[in-house]
Amino acid sequence: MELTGLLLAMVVASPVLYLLAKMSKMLAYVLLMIEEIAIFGILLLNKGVVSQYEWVELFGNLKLNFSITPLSWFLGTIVMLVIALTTLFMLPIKHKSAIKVFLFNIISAAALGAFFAADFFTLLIFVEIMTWATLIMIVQDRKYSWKEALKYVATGAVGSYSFMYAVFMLYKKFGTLEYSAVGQALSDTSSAFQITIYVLFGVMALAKSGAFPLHIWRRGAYSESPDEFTPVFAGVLSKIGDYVFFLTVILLPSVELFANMPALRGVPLPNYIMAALGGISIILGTVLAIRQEDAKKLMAYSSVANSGYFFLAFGIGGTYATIGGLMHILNHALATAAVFMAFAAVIYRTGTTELHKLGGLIFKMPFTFIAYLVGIISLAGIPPTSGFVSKWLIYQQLVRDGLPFLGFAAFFGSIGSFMYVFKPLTGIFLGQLKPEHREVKEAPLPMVIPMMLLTLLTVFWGILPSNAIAYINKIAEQVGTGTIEVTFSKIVAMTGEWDSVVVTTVFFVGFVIALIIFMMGKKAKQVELMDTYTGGEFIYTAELYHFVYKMYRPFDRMFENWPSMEDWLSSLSDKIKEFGALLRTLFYPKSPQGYVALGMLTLLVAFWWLR
Amino acid sequence: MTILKGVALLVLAFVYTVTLEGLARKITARIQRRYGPPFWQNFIDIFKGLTKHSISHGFIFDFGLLMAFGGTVATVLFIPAGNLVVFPGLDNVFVVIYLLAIGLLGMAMSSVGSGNPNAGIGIGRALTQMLGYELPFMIVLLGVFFQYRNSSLSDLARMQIESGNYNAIVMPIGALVAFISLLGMLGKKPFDSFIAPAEIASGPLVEYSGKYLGMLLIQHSFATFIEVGMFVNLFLGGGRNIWEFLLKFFIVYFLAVIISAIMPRFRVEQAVKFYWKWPLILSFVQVLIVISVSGR
Amino acid sequence: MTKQQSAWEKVANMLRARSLWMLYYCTGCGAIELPPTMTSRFDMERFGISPMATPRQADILLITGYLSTKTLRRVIYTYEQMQAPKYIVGFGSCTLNGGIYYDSYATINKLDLYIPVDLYLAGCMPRPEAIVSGFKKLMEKIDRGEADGWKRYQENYEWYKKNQLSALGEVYIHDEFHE
Repeated sequence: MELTGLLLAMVVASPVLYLLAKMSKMLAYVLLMIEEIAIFGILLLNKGVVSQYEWVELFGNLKLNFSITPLSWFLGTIVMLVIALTTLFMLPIKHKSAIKVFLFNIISAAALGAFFAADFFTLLIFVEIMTWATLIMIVQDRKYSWKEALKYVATGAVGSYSFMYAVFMLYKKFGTLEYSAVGQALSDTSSAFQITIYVLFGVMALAKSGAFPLHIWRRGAYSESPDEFTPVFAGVLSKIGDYVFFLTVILLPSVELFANMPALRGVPLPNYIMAALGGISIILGTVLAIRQEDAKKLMAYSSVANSGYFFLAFGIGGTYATIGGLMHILNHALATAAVFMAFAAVIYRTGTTELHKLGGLIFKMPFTFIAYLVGIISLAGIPPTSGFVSKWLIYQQLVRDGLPFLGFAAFFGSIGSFMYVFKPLTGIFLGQLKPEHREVKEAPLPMVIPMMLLTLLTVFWGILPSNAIAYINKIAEQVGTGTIEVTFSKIVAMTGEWDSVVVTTVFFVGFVIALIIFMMGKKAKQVELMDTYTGGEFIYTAELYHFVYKMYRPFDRMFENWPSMEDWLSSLSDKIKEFGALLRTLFYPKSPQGYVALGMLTLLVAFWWLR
Repeated sequence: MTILKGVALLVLAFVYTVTLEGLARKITARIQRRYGPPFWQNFIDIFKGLTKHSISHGFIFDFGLLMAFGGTVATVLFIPAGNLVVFPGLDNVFVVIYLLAIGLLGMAMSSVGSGNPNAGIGIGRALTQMLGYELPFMIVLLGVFFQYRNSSLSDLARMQIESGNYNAIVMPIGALVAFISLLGMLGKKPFDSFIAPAEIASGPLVEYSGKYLGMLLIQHSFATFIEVGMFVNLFLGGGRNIWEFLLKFFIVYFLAVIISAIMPRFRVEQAVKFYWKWPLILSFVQVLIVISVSGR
Repeated sequence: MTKQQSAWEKVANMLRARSLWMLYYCTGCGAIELPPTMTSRFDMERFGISPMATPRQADILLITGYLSTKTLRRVIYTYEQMQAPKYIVGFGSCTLNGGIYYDSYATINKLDLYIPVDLYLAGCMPRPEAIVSGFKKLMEKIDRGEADGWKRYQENYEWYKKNQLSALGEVYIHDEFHE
């Protein structure tokens, strides 16, 4: 596969599309869609490629290296799948602009480049392109999104600079930046150096993935970004952080590097700390998600919780957790994209995602409802969707290693997710239909098709997870963690086996039994939604009869006194501003002459010091 | 053969649990010095419900109910009852817990789909409470699986019987925690705030009538069978034959009933706080003991 | 008169007679007699009668004592939310003939004019013994298939509606009773 050619074509296509969009927006959008689907198709056709290596020379001996391995193919294809479906999804969207087409194309090229990069320098470059393009993308639609975009870029900068620093350190020391070469060279260095690199990479992973303690950008960035972009943003772009962490843990063999460090039940301390940060992300994300009143913000915190699972899984390492974590990348991408597409469809029709302003849309938008429902079932890890398998495998590892505290976090996220995913379900789709939404129609066909495709894929890999696991086994082979045993329908793990086909069949048998009993009874009379038990009172206002605002009030009350990280950060920024103001009052010269004097003084001091 | 076993298990679960629920009403009545209804009262209630007329609030109201019923029926088939095991080796505890969640989700969708806010409040409470009781339970389970390196219910029961040591004896703290969690799972007092009839008009059940209510009562009986059956298999070694299993089932259920008969009701956040205090601490203590003693 | 019942109806009526779920509408004064009837002394549950929270689940609507015209609207609404077969029990003299409120401008005198009552419990107040014996009578009636108030309501709906409207008079809030 000519990967470099592909990337070059995408880069060239961007300005062309931009200019086309200046003339006809629809044409540019359609062309973008065709391009992304074609690239996805090319990737799909190259499934068999085991290992291939390409490079582009920039200048001097600076090269961009790419390699196609099972791992990069897996991630790259997921990314392109979601992006291709999103380009179809955004055809009917109202706010079309030329810059969006341009940025969308750049972002997809950068994401592809980042996942196919073969050395840290290439990775860094593409991640940076992606970050900046995303920054501009976030501020496109909404009025007050600048503030949130700044949060995103500031947190991202923490990660980027630490990563850059680590890359320069590595290059200075080894003269190479290729993943495997760095991994080998690193095992001969001092443990202090190893830890430094590990920490710097870890910070990058946390920042890009939006896990605790660098999760603050997620809520604002997701809720403020353009609705049609959020599926890509949440579904696949944040996976770059998880991918960096995977590289850190697996390709720089951290378990071997830290083998002489103190360990908790076989997990070296640095790994355990990262896993624990993942655990904290899960708990924090879950609790905060439960408290949100806006669907997009709620799902943003759900993403924080889910990125915690990656850190937990890759952190503790081991066969089941690694495979479970990789599987989780797949199903989280599919499910989150579907959920955010459903939200975008709701916004397209009603113009809001505030839960208490919606309700009862299931009768108006049934397909959107199905997409959301299957998405959340997958996020909550309920069979028969692909979400079950990954969580099940992660639990296997937790049980095998005997890690109750991380287990607590994993279970907390899993059970807590029922709470928060049910809130938009109630608020948007169930409950009372608002009078102003009586005329709402189902989302247009180009929106429904991608949502249904994602739903079908989620269910497909739920019923036949062995299909995906078999490919992930190849990755595990490539990176050297163990593989697990799969047959056509069964997955065998330590504490038992999971036969998804049997379970699905049994579920449908149960459903048929239920249907038979249901059909035998008298036919039910259909009544209006407002005709409910009210204690004999007559009700006329549907708005007041929809229970979703502060739905988990008793639960929220338990966490009311938690310290808020955002408050702490904003008070810190206030303190810094005050300190700056103080300095200004002390040293700020009132006239140009003062500046010159101050400059001269500084130069003199510098010369004296450098002398 | 599998089909035959499955049908037998479903009939057993239905007849036995509904009978026990009737007995539970009798026992509660005797504790309150009443005479109580006959023990077959619950059969009459269920079948009467199926004969009545009913209303529906749209397709999600029906579909959610079917999903709840189907999911719960499917889960029953993964509960081994003594030597009546329908899917040996596949009766993974994780599968049971998550399949049961399908039922819960279906029920939640259906009842909230009715548009009645009481149902929404009830479901909100049920989900909140679930986060309370599932956590200590899962932590204890982690200890059990760690010890046996297995999570299949039938295998766990068999291993306990073969070694002669029930988990209730090997891990007494864990068994206690799991039992307290079981009370929450069953929705017995003091953990029944989500169906509180006097406050929120029986919560999720508020809009169900006729055959819908009848089916939900059956679904509830199946759920009871699953939850108690899971406890019996995990901590009391299931049984060598069906009768032993049913006897242990009866004892556990009887205990739960007499405790709930004399209890008032927790508010939902009180219940969660309670679960996150002693049961959670005790479950960690139990797991740490298990891991340090049999740690590999 | 005894109507011919099919075998299916016989079984259904037998079940319905033995499991009566009751919704009590207690704006009058009779509510005080219900706690002893339900609890240890008289224990209504041994006949399969138990209180229910909502009209959707209930079989019996128990109206205790006088009904003001204001609450009559609620009773009718609640009754129409119940699912057939459903039965109404008028409790106390007030539901029969107005009782001591027979000349009040604000109460109705005869409940039967507005919704179909299957059984009256006379007395002011009827004691728990009377309630239990009344319920036994109702159970026998249901068993024989004679408690058909819900059918009468369907068949004579116009007549009931006319009475309801004349009793309720003009109401300033508009709902399904007052277009």
